Amino acid sequence: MHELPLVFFTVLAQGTVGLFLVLASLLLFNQKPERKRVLSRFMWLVLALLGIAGALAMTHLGQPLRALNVVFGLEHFSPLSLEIATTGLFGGAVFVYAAMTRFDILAKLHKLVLAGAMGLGVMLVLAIANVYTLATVPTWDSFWTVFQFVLTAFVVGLPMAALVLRAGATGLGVYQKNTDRALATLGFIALGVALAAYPLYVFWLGQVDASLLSRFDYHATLILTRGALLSAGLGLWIIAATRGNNTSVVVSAVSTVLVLVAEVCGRIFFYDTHMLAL
Amino acid sequence: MTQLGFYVDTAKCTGCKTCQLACKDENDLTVGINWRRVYEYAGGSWLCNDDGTYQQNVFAYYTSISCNHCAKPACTKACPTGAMHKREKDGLVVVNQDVCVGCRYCEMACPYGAPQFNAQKKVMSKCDGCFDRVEQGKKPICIESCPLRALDFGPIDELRAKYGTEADIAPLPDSSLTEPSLVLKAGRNAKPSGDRTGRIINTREV
Repeated sequence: MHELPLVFFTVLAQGTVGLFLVLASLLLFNQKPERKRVLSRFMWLVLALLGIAGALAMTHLGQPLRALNVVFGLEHFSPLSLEIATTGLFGGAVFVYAAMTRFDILAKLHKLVLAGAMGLGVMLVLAIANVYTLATVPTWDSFWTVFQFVLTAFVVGLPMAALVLRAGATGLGVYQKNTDRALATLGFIALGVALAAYPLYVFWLGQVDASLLSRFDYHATLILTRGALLSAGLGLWIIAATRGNNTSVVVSAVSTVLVLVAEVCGRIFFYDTHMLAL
Repeated sequence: MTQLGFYVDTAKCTGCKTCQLACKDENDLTVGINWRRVYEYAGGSWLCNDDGTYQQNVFAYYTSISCNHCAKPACTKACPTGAMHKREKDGLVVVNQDVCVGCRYCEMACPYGAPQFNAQKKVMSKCDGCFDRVEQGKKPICIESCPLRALDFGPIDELRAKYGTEADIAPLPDSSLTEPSLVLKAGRNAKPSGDRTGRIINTREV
């Protein structure tokens, strides 16, 4: 499938926005300079992940050297141009914040820039969804596309944030542990929503076109694998975290990897459901 | 501005695909690139009569489709570079291969499958309405090659005056989506757009 780079881009970009929103929320309601110093350092990681996602998306272009031509599409609001522009703006805002906190420039504006970057992050997830809600593709032109993309930001972003904090913020002591437990609670809710909504989505797809689900023989396996990996990945971390293990980097790392693989499976299925109204 | 368009008589078409091959020959298209595609739509089942005997209502017909040079093209709206554009003078939708980045988004958006990715050049390609032939006063090669004389091409106003305004026949999508410059003639088995009683049976060919 030629969309594979887009599978990785969308999952990673949405997950990175999720990670960023967790870190930014913590920073936004924080008064202590030590926490701010530790947390804002992770912004470079957010930038690196976004860079990897962008590089992966570039490999989908037939002519990557002409990539700058996408600015011309802004003239007629091409959803793809808007998505690429939003990615750039979000990355730019995160960079500005990271640089401002690193070199202590205009300290009073830090939270304002951070709030702006959060807004752009949310817009990025919506801009990606906007690319795929095409009126001519009945299986994509629905709320389910937006829902899935937002959900990915949560189910990938939460365990990733827990991992980042366990790996690099243990110096913050009980703050890190409490945050981890709070993230696990949110992760539990996200897992519940994911498990409850996915069957509804698959039923809805069947309503759009009954033959769709029998077109590829590996689809049932793909859907079930996604559900199993997502449950295992989030479950492992949530159960351990709520029972008091809030520091194991290995558990969090395994969780994050399992969830990423699960979301990649789900996204491959999403691209496979592309059908023309034809 | 005149808007050029196609007429397809699905009652006459026998699905021989000469149009598709003539197009490939004229435009030197490799395997996998079909500027014109012939969709075979088929279906049917067994019906039980009152006396307990059974009767079948199997049907099959063909729709030969290239690009409908739509009034509201989904491809140009999607295109992030403006490479896919609609010509002012004749309304033909063409792709500027020097600008195209090969993102294939137009391919996702077009409900007729018209934009085709050229894997060698790594950019999109599509039916250009044989504008070079049209400028010489000829018809596109697909029209002239059709052994059944089931195809026609010209200003869409003239085609509509001559053949009517039908454009909603399965497996083609609802014409309100992109307002295609296309006139169809329905055969006796023709089903309306959105029909689910049949399916495209030559999926590996188109």
